[in-house]
Amino acid sequence: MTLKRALGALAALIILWLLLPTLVIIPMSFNSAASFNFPPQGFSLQWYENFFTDPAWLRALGSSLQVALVTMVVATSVGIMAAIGLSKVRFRGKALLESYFLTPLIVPGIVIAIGLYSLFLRFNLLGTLPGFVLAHTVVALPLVIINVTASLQGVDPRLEQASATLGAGRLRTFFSITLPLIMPGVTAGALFAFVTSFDEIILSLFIQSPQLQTLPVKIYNSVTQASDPTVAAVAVIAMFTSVLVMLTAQFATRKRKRVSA
Amino acid sequence: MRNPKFKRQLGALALGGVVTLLIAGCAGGGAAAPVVERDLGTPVAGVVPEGVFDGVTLTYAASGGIFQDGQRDAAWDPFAKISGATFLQDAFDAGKLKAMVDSGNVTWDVTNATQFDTARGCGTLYEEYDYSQVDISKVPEGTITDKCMVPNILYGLVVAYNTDAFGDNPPTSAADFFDTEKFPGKRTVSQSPYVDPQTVEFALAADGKDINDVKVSDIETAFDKYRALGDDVIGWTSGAQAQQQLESGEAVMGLVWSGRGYGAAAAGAPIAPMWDEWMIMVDSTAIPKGVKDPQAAFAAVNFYLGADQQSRMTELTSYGPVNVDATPKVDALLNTWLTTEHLKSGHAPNIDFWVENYDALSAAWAGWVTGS
Amino acid sequence: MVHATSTHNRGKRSGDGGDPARLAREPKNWRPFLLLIPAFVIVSFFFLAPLVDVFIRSISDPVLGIQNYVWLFTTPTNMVVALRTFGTSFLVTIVCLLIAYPYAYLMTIVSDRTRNMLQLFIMLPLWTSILVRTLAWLVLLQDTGPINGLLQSLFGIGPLPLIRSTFGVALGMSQVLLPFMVLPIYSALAKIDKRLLPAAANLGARPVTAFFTVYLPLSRPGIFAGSVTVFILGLGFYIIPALLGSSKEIMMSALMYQQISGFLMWGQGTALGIFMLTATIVVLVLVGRLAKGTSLFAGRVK
Repeated sequence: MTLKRALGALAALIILWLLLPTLVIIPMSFNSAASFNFPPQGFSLQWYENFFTDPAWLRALGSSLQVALVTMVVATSVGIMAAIGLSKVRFRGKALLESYFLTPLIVPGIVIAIGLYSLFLRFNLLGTLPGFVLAHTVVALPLVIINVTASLQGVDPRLEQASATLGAGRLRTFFSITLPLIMPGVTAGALFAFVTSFDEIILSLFIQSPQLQTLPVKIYNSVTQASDPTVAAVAVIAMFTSVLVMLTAQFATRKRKRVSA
Repeated sequence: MRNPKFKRQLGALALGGVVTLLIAGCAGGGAAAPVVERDLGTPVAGVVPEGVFDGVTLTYAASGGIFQDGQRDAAWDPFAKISGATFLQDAFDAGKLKAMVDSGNVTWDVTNATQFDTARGCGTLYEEYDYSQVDISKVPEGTITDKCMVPNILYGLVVAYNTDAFGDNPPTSAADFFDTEKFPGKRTVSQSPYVDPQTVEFALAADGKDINDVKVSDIETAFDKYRALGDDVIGWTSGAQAQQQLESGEAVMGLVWSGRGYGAAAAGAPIAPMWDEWMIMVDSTAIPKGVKDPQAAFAAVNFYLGADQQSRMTELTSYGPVNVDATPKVDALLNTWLTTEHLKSGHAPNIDFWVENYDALSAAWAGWVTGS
Repeated sequence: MVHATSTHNRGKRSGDGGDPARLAREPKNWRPFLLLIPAFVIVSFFFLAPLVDVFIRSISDPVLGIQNYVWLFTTPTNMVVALRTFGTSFLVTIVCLLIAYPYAYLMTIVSDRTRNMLQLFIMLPLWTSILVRTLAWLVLLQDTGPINGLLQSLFGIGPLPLIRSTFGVALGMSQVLLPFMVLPIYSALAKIDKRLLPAAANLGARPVTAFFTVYLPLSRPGIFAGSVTVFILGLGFYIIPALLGSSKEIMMSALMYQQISGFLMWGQGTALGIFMLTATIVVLVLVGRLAKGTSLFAGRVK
């Protein structure tokens, strides 16, 4: 029991260390002085006002949401297909192929970014929606595959066989039997894909152009080029968007656990 | 390899690789349609005929901050409004520029560069100017140092110090920058990825060396001088960071771009310039090699050089105007930071030497910014 | 969350795939392969192709040959930074391991509700952009920041070098990478039969002995998976060392960027990239050899 208490105290400290530092950004965003010094000197909404009245920031937020939504749709559809495909095929190189799909998670971002830049330059994909979506899909796909694969392993293959026996086509079986069963994994994967794209920075820095800049790119440029506390307000807005999506994902997963229990 | 299926799979992987290789290899830049030459008449700085560039999109790439915002408001947007063009702003990155030029797909039309950049890259990275299309009659004398540039701003690398930290006994010489006993506290110096010869020149000038008579062996001497400051020297990797370090009091002195020192002072921080042995800097407006519409780019630069545009640019950025007829309205604070008032104690860079010995400099710089 | 709970299932069911009877029953079917095509195409064009491009540049820019790799291995700066990158990543791995293990253990001995909370807290920061979090650290840790201010007023010490130091970089990096250590360790610990420790105690082992001889070895797969993930991800960090470190903490990614953007040396920069990539793969293969049956992705037991 004492061990449990001690661990509990330790865990509390760890949680503080994980969450608290990030939260200083919130008071900073209400700072009345034009600086990043802590503690803030007074209360003001000027940085939020700046954000909501500056078309460039709003356009960046819009682009980010657009890219993240389309990436979510593409990564989720492709990811579901891949996960189902992987669960059905058996061959020697399967593990290799699985790793192939998952490696974008571990390769240093800057190496992919440099390569993507010179490739996109040649295909005129810089600063385009398809360019952003496909680049982000590569890093979001592994998360979808991991989550959907996990859900698929809880699906009894006999259900699909039964559906086929009863005369349902492959597509019908998928949409009326398999998809509802793996829905929690799909939801979680989709939301992870959304957030991954919404927060992606390194690839985006290289594939952006003035025609299409996502929010993290604008934040990065602001941090490295200007000392403008508007960025604190933007950070708070971005943070809450991500956390909201993340909490939804958490909720979806929990529901799944209850169903499978 | 026993299993044929495995082999087939490997084959598929290899095929994928080959296909991607082919695509990577043979895609060329999109061939641009030939641009029709418009008749713009004899260029006059600051003037562009109405509506001549309808439908043209131009992009200016520079290092951001108030510098780029000010130039946009003072010159690029007004140019767009009159000429009918669309003007976009992008973040400059020299690596990207090189890739664009190499691939033949140049998406920037006008960029900000240093005198060293244009001197080194003239004809390879940058287009030579056709000075018959740009009115350079009002450009300050001696500021055009190669065929690929016209000046962009006049500014300087100056020592900015915290007036609270030193009270009645502020630093007055470049040597004081290196004297941590009389002037205790941290100094911030450039460690940005972009090689800066003038940071080297400052250290040499502080030792009383003539910077027009520098030798390759002096480069390491200069860096050693900074290294000797030990824990008292911190680096800045971007102008914004330099400003932040001065504003927060993290650094009590800094060798920074004059505009960033002004930025800190304008934000209310007790920061003042020290003009002994400061380094005169002239940025270039440069046109990337292979630009899609050279005529439009030249016309934009010609417009940028106008006296009104330059006055406005200075008022917005604190950087010195590149038109001798410019009459910016400056307040007292801005006036203390205007480099054009202190040209006597400044040093112009030894450009030829640095272009010639760039490799030695960049190797030493790499060591300096990676702490080895 | 998702990773941790699902791993469990995967572990239990992993036998299915290898079941020869089932393999025989299933007719040879090529249709599922079609489902793999979109993912294969996207990953090939937007991941493999860029890497191939990087590789080609590294041996062809400015001229065909291995001069960029010769430069890479003969320039002391590169080796210093490479060693530093491995060192920092290793340090961060150890820090994460020491913090994550007790946390993950706690997750196995509390109620479902508390466990969900613990899991939520560990995942929450994962979805705040690294940029935002680094900015926050910068504000807190600077010499004139609140932490140094507090130290000064309470104990009269400082300012301590909280940023522009390995300490700052390691602090920021471990905070970002901790979830990748906790989740695999948790899924390994969750599989261990809780009755083993009392059993060991009954046989006369002291708790410490029981932990080191029974519990710790059984949790090894999770430790391996977590450590490898953290170490590898750590190698590629760019923004945190750049903002929380000084020139003496700069890592490989920044060096690569510097070569390309600062010096326009695409050949040398891409050679550094290939070097990082190779280092990553070597680590994976080595650990794969060392720890059969563990895999990089949390609980993907083969």
